[in-house]
Amino acid sequence: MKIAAATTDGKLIDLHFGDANRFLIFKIEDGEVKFLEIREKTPIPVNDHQERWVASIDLIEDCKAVLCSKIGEEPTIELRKMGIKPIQLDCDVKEAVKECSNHLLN
Amino acid sequence: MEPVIETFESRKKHMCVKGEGLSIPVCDKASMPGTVTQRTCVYGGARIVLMPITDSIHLVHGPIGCAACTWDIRGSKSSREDLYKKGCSTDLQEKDIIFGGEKKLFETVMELNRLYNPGAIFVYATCVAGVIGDDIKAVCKKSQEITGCRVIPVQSEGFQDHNKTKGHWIGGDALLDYVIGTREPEETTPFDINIVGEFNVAGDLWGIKPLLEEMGVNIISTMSGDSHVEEIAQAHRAKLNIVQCQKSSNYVAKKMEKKYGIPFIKVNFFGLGQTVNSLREIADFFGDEEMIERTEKIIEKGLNGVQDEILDYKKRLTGKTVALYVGGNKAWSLVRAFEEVGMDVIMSGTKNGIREDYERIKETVRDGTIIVDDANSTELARLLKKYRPNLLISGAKEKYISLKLGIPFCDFNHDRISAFAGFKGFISFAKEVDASVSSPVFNLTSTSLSDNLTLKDNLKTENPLDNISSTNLGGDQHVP
Amino acid sequence: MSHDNCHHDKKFAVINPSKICQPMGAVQALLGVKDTIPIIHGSQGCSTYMRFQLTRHFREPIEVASTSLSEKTVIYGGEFNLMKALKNITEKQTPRMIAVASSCLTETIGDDMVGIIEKFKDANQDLPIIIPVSTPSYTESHVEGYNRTIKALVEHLATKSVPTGKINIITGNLCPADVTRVKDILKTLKCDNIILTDTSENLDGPLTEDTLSLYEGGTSVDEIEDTANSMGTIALSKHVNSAGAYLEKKFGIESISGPLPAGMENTDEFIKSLCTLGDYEIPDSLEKDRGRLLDAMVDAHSYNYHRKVAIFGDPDFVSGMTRFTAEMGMIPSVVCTGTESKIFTNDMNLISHEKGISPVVLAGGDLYDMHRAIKKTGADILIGNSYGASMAKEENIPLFRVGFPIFDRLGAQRISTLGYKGGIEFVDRLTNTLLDFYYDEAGYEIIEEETDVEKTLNTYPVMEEI
Repeated sequence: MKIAAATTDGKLIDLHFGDANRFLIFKIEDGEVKFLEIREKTPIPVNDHQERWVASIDLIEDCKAVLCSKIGEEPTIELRKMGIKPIQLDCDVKEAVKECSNHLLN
Repeated sequence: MEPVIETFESRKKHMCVKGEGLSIPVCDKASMPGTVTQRTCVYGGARIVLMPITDSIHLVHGPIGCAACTWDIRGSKSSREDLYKKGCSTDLQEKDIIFGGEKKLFETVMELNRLYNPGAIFVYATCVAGVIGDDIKAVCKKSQEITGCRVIPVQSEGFQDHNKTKGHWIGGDALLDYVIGTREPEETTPFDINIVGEFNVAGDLWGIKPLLEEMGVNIISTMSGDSHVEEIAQAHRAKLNIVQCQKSSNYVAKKMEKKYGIPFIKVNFFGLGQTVNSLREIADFFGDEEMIERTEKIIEKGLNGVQDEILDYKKRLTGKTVALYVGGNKAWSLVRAFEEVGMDVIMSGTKNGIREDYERIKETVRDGTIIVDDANSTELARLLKKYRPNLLISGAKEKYISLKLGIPFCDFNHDRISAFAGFKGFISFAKEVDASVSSPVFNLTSTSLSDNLTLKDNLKTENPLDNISSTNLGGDQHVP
Repeated sequence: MSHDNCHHDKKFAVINPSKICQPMGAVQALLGVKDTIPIIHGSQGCSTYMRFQLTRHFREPIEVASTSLSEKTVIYGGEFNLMKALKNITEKQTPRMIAVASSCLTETIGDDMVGIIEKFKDANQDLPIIIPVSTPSYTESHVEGYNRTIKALVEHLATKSVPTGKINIITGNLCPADVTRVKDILKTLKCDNIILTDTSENLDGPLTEDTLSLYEGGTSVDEIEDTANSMGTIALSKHVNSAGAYLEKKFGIESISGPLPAGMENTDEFIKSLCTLGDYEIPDSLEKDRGRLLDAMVDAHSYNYHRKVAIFGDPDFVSGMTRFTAEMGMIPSVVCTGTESKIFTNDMNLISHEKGISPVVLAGGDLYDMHRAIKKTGADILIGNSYGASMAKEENIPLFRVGFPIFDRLGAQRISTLGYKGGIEFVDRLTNTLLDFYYDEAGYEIIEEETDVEKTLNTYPVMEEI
């Protein structure tokens, strides 16, 4: 099970879903949280709001949940359709990912 | 035109008088924010439809409040299990709101199944569960696959509609989509029926069932009073649905007609005339001569058993007035029942009636009756003060408004403690109405201590001997 | 003392809860304030079902307004409905104050109640006081909702002016009769006070039409404003002391927290606390009341001794009752509160140690947990609200009804247990309940084995009365 986190420094969840240019991907194995990889977006012109969050979705489509500081209505609906849980909060990445894994139904 | 009572401009059209002005009140609109509405939410509507299923667990997926405040709202009685009476909740906490409650729901369902091995677990979505996007359907499906127990999602987020009627439909859908038609009965008879829209409040069903069984019909299931899930599962094999006309049951009956071709007739067992008509209509439907003959005998016996019993009550009740503020169905069906005990209905209203209900009310009441929609507490108090009926029929939240005004009250909702349906039920009905209307405590209510003292002072100035001479000393050996 | 692992067979589900959500606590607090309209900012169900619970308990009309949120508002936010609600209320009624409590829905969608209310105030004139209270139902319980509400009231209203020498008393959610008991003690001590909040009149109204309007009784807004000028605050329940702590921090008003004055020791403690805050003379009448309580307990002791008692309810009520029943000589066997609370657990540790008892302590438990525990430890009597009735029936023990809600008996607002006088009532009623249940009409204790003994005695001739 994979969880994505939108974070600038890897310590705090602090990025807006669409704005995030990269996501940290964590893998949950036997209840343990393991850092897997960083996935980067290819840079896109900033004014295309929709394309930005679509690109974010593309990056994390194999994840079960994504943690970010804020996310809009449209991407939320899309993610839920895909069975991915969007979670809005700003706090410590590790804690958030651990807590998230406790709440995910596999 | 003079408004019925003083209230907000936009509310004035929600009340009318039969025979004057508006034909039926404006209805089926959202309650005004800021008022003390008598309405509940969609979750409540769904719950009261499904709750009486005795061998099922009702699990509320949300924070504790929804379950804690509603766990015993349906005064439904059971002759068998009492699983339905348990108040179960996933008690969502802040972390569940942020990270999702699906896992907790799954574990809770597994746990409840292990503890109780119920006929079904109904999982109700609440407002918050809807907002956070928990996929209740998926969790139910998964847990059902694993446990083999029926786990049924009820998408009843409270805010979905201003009218809890939607909740009734959602509850009905849960049965239609997941239960009805999933089991075949071992044998069928030509007289199989379902009773739809009977929740066995205070044991009403037990006033109706014996009459039907004596007629010779076979009741496959009741939706949903004193029922088992597996009985409802066989409901699609009935030859007839008898429907106590409420919005929830009409919906289910119509859908069953469409899907299974089962015809339905509307029945009503409140009041003698209506009970008699309903029994005859059922017998006529089957057209079996022996059944029709039996039915007439049952009717005769029933009516004979009642007439003498209610004479006393009728004596005291004749000419008294009554106001109704109830659910859509009762607002017209009770009118006849009250007329049978000699009372006059001067007002009839509902919290969440729709057009059909008000058309029906209009047909049933006499000219000059006030018809009211979605009255809030203030309006209700004003109506009662202005028209001062001898009795108000309503539910728990309206009770004390009425009593504080010195107007007797009778509960016709789920808090009711006596059965009112059928022949015997009519006697309890007359008895309870009499107990409210005729209780001497209401004669005391309009007096005050200061008034009484003034009266006594006035009496003192009169010749005390006059007073003694006017009292009856007959037989009394003692000299005062 | 044992902390039974109440979750050894159940970890997730709550079955038959013994707590309600925060907004309910807010309403309970606001019912004791004069001229105030409580609104719940949420969907209709919240306010209507709460009113249902409160109405059938108090057998009084209870008015709680709703902002009646719908599907649209969930998407666009609840601002429109809240503004409309405030407008409707201020147009047609003239309360002195409107208190708006949030619900889980409005907290989850992130409505900024403070902002919306400010906006409303900017756009309108001649408004009553409008106070927002944040009461999300997905944390804590109704106990915290009450606490937050009192704090919000005091935060918004308390204004420093001339010292009054009064004592602020934060009652917590008490039965109206208990509020009266506390007020009586204060009166006897000639202690000027402000009660936060006073439900003694509002929820035990006479049968007149006047009771249908805004509350004339209860704590007034002026009094809440005046709390900043008192010389001390006592919170009767340790869980509702946030306002006391606030007043201490902001105005230097000494704050004392708990315990609930239930029973001899706790009532003594309460009076001691009052005396540390101010100079009060203990009149003879109070000593007599104390003496009468002791007298009642001694009169009752032989019927109560070592009777096992199971108690459930709000945390301070439970810890207070545990101590009280232990004073009487009973043995608390299971105690349960729906709120998870360290304060409660610590209190129970202390009481158990002092009294030499070891009840099963369920903090954050429900009635299912309680029932299981009772099956293991046994109980002769159950103390709690009406939801304990089926448990009591199954275990064949009497239920002594106290707490909230009580809907299957009358006079719920007149059951008092606090102070010396309330304690006397409690001792009498509880002991009589035991007598009703366990003793026959001649006054003899009904012993189950007797019937077996009688059977074997059948062979012997019956002794004739001379």
